[in-house]
Amino acid sequence: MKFDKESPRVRELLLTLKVFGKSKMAMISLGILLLFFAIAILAPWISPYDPTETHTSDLFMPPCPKYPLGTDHLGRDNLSRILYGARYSMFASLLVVAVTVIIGMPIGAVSGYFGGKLDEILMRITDVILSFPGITLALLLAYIMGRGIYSAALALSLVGWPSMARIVRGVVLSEKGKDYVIAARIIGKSDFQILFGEIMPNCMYPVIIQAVMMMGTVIISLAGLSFIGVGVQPPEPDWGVIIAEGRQYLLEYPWLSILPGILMITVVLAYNLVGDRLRDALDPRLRGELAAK
Amino acid sequence: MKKLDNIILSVEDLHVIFKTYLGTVHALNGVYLEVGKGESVGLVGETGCGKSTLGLSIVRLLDESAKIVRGKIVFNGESILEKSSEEMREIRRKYISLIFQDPTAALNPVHKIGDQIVEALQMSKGLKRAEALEEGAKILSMLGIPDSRKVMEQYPHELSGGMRQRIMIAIALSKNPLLLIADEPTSNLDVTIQAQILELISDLRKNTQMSLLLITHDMGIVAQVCEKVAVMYAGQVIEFGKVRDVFKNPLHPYTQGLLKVANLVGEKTRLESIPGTIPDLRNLPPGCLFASRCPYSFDKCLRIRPSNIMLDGKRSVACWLVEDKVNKFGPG
Amino acid sequence: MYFPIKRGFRKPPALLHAVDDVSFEINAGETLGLVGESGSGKTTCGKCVLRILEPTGGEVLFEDKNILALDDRAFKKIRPMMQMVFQDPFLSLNPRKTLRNIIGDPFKLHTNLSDGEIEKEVKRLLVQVGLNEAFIDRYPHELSGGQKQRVAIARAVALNPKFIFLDEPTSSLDVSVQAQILNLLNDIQRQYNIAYLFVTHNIHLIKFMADKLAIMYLGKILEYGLKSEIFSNPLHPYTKALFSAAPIPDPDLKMERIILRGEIPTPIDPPPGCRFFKRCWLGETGLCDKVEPELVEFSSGHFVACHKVKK
Repeated sequence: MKFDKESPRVRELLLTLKVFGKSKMAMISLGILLLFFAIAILAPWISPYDPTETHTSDLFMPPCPKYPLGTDHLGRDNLSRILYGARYSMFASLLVVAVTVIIGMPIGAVSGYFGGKLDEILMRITDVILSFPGITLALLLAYIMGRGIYSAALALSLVGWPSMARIVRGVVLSEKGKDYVIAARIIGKSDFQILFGEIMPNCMYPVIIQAVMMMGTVIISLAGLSFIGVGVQPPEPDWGVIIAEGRQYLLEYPWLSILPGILMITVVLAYNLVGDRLRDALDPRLRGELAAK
Repeated sequence: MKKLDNIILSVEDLHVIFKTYLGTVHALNGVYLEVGKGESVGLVGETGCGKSTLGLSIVRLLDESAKIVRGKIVFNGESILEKSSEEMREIRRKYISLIFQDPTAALNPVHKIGDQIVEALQMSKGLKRAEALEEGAKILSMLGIPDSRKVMEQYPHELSGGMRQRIMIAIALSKNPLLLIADEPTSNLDVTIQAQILELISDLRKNTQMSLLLITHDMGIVAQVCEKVAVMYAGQVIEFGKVRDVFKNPLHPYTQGLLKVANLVGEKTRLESIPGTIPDLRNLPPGCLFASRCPYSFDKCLRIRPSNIMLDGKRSVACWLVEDKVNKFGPG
Repeated sequence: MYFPIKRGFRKPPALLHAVDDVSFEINAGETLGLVGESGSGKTTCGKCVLRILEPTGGEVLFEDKNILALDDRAFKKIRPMMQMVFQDPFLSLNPRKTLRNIIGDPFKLHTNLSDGEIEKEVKRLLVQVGLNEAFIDRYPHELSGGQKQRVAIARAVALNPKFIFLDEPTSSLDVSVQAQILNLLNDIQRQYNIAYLFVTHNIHLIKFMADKLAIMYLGKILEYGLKSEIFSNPLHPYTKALFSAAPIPDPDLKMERIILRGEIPTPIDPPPGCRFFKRCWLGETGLCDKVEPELVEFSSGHFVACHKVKK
């Protein structure tokens, strides 16, 4: 059989992108996410006003040329607040997921590979954590650690790593018995060399997909914690905070809360659609079929 | 085209392609095949030659991405390619049986063996449940399965591979098909069990007029079980004839090479092997598909693809070398 | 000279006698064929020799040292000299590594060669097993079955091993590729004087490859000796049945086929007496089902374990 001269890694990447690209929904979602990331990065430059600046003479303004999305109960520009709010949703969630992976992956790998008592203990711990409702536990942790975005993020990571660990453990368990692992042992690799050199690379795809799918939940959870008052503290313009502040005025000025809500739903949906298609695009079996259609 | 009465299956110039993301794969490139009534024909070849594809094409069970682009398949006097899916289901239910390499895939793990046999019998012969149970038990005993009543009450996973394969054969044979297509039926089994199963299939054929198309890569099995053999390479039948003729006097260079490697010789001498690899099915060369690996290829081989050159009605080869012989010395 | 001698049980709750009191010897440059069907324990034997599985009893003597008694560090030094080639090359090569890494790993682990030197070695090995040097940066899934197996062989041979356990190395390959691989294995054996433990169920193959044979059934060796001896004079009924069961690609040779009754039993809690009794047509009730036959020397170097075989 003949093969192209291009690097195999590149070709695999291209195939994945091609399958991904065939789905309009996924591409639109990806575009939306990129847009939101751009907004988050560029917020300081594209916001017309400082988000915490109050304009006491312009309370509860409806959308108008001066304030494109109107103002809130303290006269702050809604557009600016929402733009800045994107920063928390987009970046803090990345932080949470990153920490989840950093904690969960090694734990899952070690647990799955070595088995025995270690595995039992670690799995008991994950069971305990998973048996609590996530938000409640995060709430508790965040409260204990003090309010603020960082403790909220840490709390969510502590709640989130078990599911990541479980997934990694699953992959490691199924790879552990395979011939290439035995082959590595035969040429003399140590356990750690095998675990990190041979098995981990095979975990990348499931981890990436899980990470993407988690983003949606994390964004909502973060906003939720801020909403309750444990995460981002006012006057900082996190979407959760904005929704919380606008709650009292829901009947008279609904757009204060609803606008960030809609944006949040959009981002979460986009993440889910991207994650879904990505999972299909990375699955070696589905991939071929999907590419041919 | 008028077919003789004693041919149960005939395939003419069959071309099948698969659409994949890497291009169009030409799986079958002009297959010619004939199975007589009550005859056993071996379909032999290596990975990628298209033998499984051919088997599936005959019963129209190809994947969605496959297309039959040319050719004819005639079964029992009727053209298969013109049948509707309903008619095909009828044919598969009553007249053609298919068994595979992996019986686990064919048997439903959550149903008892007995239920599955009964269901097959009810579908094909319209028997009532009680009658079907009787019949089922009888078939199992015939297949050398002891305690057939007990086995009928068991689930597939409780039985060994050899037993499951026998059950699959039982189900396949229970409807007294005109044609049995067996795709590598013993490849997963131990050699002593394989011997049992092949013996079984041979015995069963003695008592019926059932034709057998045995798809395998094992030349030894073909030599022991089949009357005729079709050798496949890169989607074509490159040689076809009586087993004795083909094995003793192979005409196509590929068949010659295949027989040499299949017959490993005793001492630590070097084995003869066929140099090169199979052609890329997405990008077929214009001439003979074996030419690049053939020690005897000449100019015509590279330009025009040979196909189905008959040598006396019972033997055919796809090779220009043979055509020369036919021209010089006459057929036969 | 190498004298692997060993014995092993594996223990789930019911005793699964995977390998029971098995002993054999292989010399440098020699091939011992271990032949048997499922449940015979042939693969387990090989895995015990390489300590992939830890046997429950017995010894494995490699160059006169019992490697089972060595601690991890000491054994790690020996590892490069005892290698393995697996049945399915698709599974035995890490799909996420290039050939450069797969074949280069042994060098990285056990030598101090620089990356450039390792690359030279890897290229040399690729050529030696019949592959193009340019494949060095390819991934396993880009190669055909035969090519993958060549890579597996290159990896096994990288550090000049003295012993290789070959577990059905050609079973998943096409017949024509099989021939090429067997030729390669023979060439390499001649060149490096390596001892091979060749496990297979294919009689024809072992007739070609082996110098000595051991026929296994349910964890026991039933017959053992020189290949030529055993093929010209098979003694054990199972050996005879095995030989006759393998179909020969010669339509004129309609052999007297011995068809065995029954299924292959599992090696869990085997009953007393000869393991083959249930399927044996010579079995004598009272003797064969009560007393387990010992491996006895029938003629020089030719051993058989059967009550019914008399000199």
